[in-house]
Amino acid sequence: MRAQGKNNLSDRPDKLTAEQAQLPFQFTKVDLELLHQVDQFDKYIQEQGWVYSDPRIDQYLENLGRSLVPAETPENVKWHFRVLRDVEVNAISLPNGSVYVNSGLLARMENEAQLAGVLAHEIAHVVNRHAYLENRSARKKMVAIDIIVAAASAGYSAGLSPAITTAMGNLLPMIVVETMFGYSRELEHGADVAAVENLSRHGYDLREFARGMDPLRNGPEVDLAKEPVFWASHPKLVSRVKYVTEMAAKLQPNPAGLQVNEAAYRSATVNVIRHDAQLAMLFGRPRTAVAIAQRLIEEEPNNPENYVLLGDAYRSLGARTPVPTEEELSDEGKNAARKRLHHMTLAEYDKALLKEPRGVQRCQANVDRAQEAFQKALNLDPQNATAHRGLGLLFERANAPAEAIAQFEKYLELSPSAKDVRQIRMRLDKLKSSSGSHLPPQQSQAEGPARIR
Amino acid sequence: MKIKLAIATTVTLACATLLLAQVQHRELKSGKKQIRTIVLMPMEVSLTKKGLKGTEPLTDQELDAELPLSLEIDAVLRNLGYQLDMQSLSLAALAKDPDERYAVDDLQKSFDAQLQLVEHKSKGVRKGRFTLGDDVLKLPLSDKVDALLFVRARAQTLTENKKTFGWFVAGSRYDSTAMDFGFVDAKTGDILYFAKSRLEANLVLDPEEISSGITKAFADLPRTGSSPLRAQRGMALSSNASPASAVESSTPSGALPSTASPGSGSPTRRIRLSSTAIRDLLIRKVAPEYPEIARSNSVHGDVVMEIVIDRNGRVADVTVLSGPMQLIPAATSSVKQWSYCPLTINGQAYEIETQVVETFKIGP
Repeated sequence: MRAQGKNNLSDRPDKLTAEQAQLPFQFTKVDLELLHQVDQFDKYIQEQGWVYSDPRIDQYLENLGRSLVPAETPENVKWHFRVLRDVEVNAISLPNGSVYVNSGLLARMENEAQLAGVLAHEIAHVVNRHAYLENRSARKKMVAIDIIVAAASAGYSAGLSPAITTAMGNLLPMIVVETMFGYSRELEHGADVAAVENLSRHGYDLREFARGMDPLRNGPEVDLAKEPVFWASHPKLVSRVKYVTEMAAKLQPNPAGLQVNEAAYRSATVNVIRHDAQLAMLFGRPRTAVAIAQRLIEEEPNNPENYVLLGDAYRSLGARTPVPTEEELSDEGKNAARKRLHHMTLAEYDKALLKEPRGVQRCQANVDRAQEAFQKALNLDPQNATAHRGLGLLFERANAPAEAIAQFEKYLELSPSAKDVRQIRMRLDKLKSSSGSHLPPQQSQAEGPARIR
Repeated sequence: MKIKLAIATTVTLACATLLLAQVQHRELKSGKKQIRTIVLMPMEVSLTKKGLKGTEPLTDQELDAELPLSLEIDAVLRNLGYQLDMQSLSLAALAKDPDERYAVDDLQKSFDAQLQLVEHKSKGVRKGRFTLGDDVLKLPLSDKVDALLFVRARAQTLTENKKTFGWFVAGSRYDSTAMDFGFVDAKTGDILYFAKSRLEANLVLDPEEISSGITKAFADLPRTGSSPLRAQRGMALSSNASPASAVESSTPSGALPSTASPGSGSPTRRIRLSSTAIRDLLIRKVAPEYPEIARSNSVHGDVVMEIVIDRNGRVADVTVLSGPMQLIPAATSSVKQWSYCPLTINGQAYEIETQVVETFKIGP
């Protein structure tokens, strides 16, 4: 119900705000208070480990973002472009000039032109002071509180993970949090128009901007939200794609030679996309991880790390199918999944799936696929430590202690200073103590890999 | 009749489950698992101000509230014989290595993802239903650490108008603080102990109530069998402190050496702590002289005072909150001679506001 409130708000054109947006912006005491709170929040999220840091993506994003900002920096704005470690498909901007792109969005985008579209859209919100304008409206503040409550409880298909949403709700003025989920229809439209003009000036292919919005609507996971709340699943996304496509046709009648920059995008984002796949596995979205790994393999078929990622993703799929079944996508299936998720932990949910006969079959199929992927990684690089760890975990789960011990020992030998050494050592100790002694592996590597059952 | 009884029993049991304030893992209860050394995860504290116009966050105060809350928790745990490490996973300690920061953040999110279920089905903690998994072993900690402590605190301050309004519409009239505590096995990730505390108290301004709430929340923690631990403020909290540094010359004679020296460059900040939290900081206590006239008139009782301890550990200000008039001069005069170990954390010197009580008794 509360989420519906947000939709009503979004659908209502806000004439006062739009008129205000046309006037030169004068900072008031209220605006400066907001700026102070936003600066504090900015600092907080960096300290908390929410921001992904890797020189390649940091440099790339900063350069791309700065190429799109206006020549004259607006008052009280310092431009920063960073990646937020969040599997949700979203991007947010703070009125102080910090723009955060979720790792989940980077994993879904395909090229620089699409990313530039997102950045240009967020830059337009900052330049046009949309957050300050919304903050001046007391009426909206009250509505915003409801939005936060809805957002925090929306769970699966929110535009930010529930933990981050809750923390944001705690730390920021409610209105700023609400703006992260989308402004009023008129302001969103204004930002899109500004972004289109910006991209056109920089020679980016506008059709990609429209295409970049399209994949946001359907991911590999089952969307369990009853009411779409966020930017990523904005109900007006269809119309946004339509008018951006129309503008593209007018502004760029001959799209040949326009910038798309797919190679530069792939090269800069590969690490953060792998990181996002790990996050997806950790937070119960193994299908997303499988989709990401498959895409990375398509792009780089000779990279063993991509196969390790695919193996890990299949392993974490458990008894799920790699893509949702029709039953899961039906309303009945969604209701059942929603109920289960409210009463079970992710581990319990996985166990429940395994209790069904077809769950066991699916799990075995995933184990086979995982084993195959790890084996491919080892064929490409026999010294790949993480592939041995992956196999060790598979054997451990299949109750094959001798094989698991051999794989874990190989992993520790190849990667003695890895961050998870304590974790693997502990598992190794447990396996050794439960199996009593070193059991000989069922089959040696030379004879071909044993099938894990 | 039987049906009615069954329904009544079910309802009672359901309510009891919901109201359970503390639940412990059966292996902790049986002694199979033991906790002694606990590492504090970066705590999440949110403060909001609720007025007639809506709710606003108090971002600045949030940062100020984290330190006193961690000191209160530390004091309660020390009294129970537990050792709390507040440094190993502090944000400052994690600043250098992004992978370690990610590992902590992932666990925090994993804890938060289960928190709602743990709160509603807290009985599951007994059966070992909730776990963060062995990813806890990715944290940069030694094998000596037994548990991780997750703290979530949400506090709401009401404006005066809101409180007044609350009287008319039977709404909330008091500041409130809700705290959740999760003790997680540092090896397996299992939630070993979960406690919640719901107080009508201000997180920043009412440290005595907060301390009391934490004590109640930890009441079912198994006793370690060791005596309460003494605080080593400088060693435990001040990474910049030199263990050999001596107390400043202005400290009254008889003072025990401090392991931390107050930061000289940074401005002094002030925090409010409970009497429990500062108990171990007291290094010189002067007993009051019982005024003869009061004794002859059988005047006795407690004098409750609020004191300010400056950055050098001296009592800089005394305000009497309650007590018999004839006993107040003697009480304030003695308290002014007390001295405390200066509180310095990461080079930052702190003034402390706290309450002390002088008790005047007639007879043995």
